[in-house]
Amino acid sequence: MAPVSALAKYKLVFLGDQSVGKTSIITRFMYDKFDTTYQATIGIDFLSKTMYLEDRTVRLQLWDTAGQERFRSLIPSYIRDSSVAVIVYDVASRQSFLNTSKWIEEVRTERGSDVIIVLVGNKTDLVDKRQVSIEEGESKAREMNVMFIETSAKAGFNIKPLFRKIAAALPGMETLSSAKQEDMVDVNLKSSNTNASQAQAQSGGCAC
Amino acid sequence: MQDIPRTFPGHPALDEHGRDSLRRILTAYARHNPSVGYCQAMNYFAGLLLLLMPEENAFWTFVGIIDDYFDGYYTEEMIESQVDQLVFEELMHEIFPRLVSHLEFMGVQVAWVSGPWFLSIFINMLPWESVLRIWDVLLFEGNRVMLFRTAFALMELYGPALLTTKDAGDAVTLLQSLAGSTFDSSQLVLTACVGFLAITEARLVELRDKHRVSVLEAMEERSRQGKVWKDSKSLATKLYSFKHDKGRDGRSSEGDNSLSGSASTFDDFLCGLSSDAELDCLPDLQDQVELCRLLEEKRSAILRAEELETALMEMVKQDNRRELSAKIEKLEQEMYGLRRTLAEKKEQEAAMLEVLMRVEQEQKITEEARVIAEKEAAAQRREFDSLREKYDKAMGLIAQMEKRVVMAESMLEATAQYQSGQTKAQFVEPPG
Repeated sequence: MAPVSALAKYKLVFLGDQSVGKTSIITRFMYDKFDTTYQATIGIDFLSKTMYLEDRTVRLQLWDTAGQERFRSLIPSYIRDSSVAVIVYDVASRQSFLNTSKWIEEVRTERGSDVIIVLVGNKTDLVDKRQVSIEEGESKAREMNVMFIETSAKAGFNIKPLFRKIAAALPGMETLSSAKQEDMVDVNLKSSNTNASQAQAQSGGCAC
Repeated sequence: MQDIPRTFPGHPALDEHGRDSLRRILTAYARHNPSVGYCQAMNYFAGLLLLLMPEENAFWTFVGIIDDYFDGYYTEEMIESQVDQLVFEELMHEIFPRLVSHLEFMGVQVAWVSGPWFLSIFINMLPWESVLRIWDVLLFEGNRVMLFRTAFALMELYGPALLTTKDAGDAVTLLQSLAGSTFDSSQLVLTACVGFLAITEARLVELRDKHRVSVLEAMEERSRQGKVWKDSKSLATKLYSFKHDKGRDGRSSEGDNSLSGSASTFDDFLCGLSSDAELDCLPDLQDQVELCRLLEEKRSAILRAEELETALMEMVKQDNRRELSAKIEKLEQEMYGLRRTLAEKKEQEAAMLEVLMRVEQEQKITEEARVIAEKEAAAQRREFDSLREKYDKAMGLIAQMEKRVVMAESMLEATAQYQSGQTKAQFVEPPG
């Protein structure tokens, strides 16, 4: 029992416009598979996965949200106690990229700076249809002071690095989920400041 | 709409044809009721109805469900969805106090699971058979009571298992997967309908009225902090609150309060009105009538604007269509040209083939001729050989003859010599 409860748990919420690939990224990470069509997510969906890192093991709770704007009135409560917000856009849709500002703003209003935000440009496999360059993504991430990575859930590109990057940024955070039952959490956490995570974000590509 | 192919992907009834039907229903509904437009989850409802009935019937059934049974549920603000979640939570506290306190201890909000249940009317959340049984009851009753009863039945069935979980994530995952394997639809419907008879529409209406106020206030708060994305929406909220509050005099003051945040010209008037309302709680009836009229006007103006926008979009689309049809024509022309070249090519090919055949035939003939010639040549050679043999033989004969001639000559000579000798002798003898 003890080792299980000693697992550090982190809540990740996935945000972004409709059809940018939130569910695809999660499914690729969880089951390493991809379908061209997923059913549209209604409201919110939940999955959890244990990640074994070199020095420790963490349990990630992944909250997959509906992309449609009107569901936003229901979403703040999901954002409220998450330690990571993964904000996804489609590199082949400029509009979805522009809307990430609103999503980031939404998260900041809800959680202030007490949250890791990752900007993810998905669908890099759509080479011919690309509307947002990697430089634009990087510069927006720098401007907003968030991490950045480009992925392709379809091709399985950069998905693991995305989660490794998130995991690497986690130690600086307070362990979120109901500290009352989090009796034993590994405490030798190096405080990684935003600049460090920023540097990691800039390094881009695969780090594994 | 990006959700068309994302509705029951792979279902044989939703092939290209079925998807067109689905698109038409959703588009027609968005035109029919612009205040709702399209909301994710509606694609599943329309898809389900299309599996059961022809397109037009499906459309009208769809309209009935969304406009009547689920009024205010899928609108831009989703006010009634939020209200229903609060009502559900309150009833959960009442019916399953132990389970709720356990969930709260783990940090689970019931709405995380029940929200998707309600919004999707259990489609994709339960096995198909169970979904259809629930829809059956829901459509028969003509209200949302069955949503609540089913959700409570699920809590009753799976509550004991939930009590053993120790982590928010595990609890939610467990409940999701258990709900997804509720294959005993009869047990589910029985538990829902018999076990929760106390949940009635009248009770729900009462609770909804109670919670709606807080939802609207929260929304107002959000819009005041500038967190609502589109300004026009807060107005819609107010209109909505007005519409829903106008029947109840006791609550009108709250409705008016929420109206005071508006920014248009007559809102100053409203502000004054609402402060009046705060003083004596019941505003003047005439004022209220005036207010009602103004709001109705505003609403119709908004609706008209939306209609105009729709019409404009339509025109733009038609324009596109013209452009597209021109393009198609051009493409068709190109295709015609290509087809002609193809035909020509084919003809050429045929001609070529013919020529080739002829050449081949000629070749065959030549070959035959060659064979015959060869045969003839062989025969001639044979003849030549025999002739040569004959010649040789003849030559041999000639040589022999010649030899004989020589012999004969020599014999003749000898004879001649002999004769001459004899003649000489005769000449000599007579004298002798």
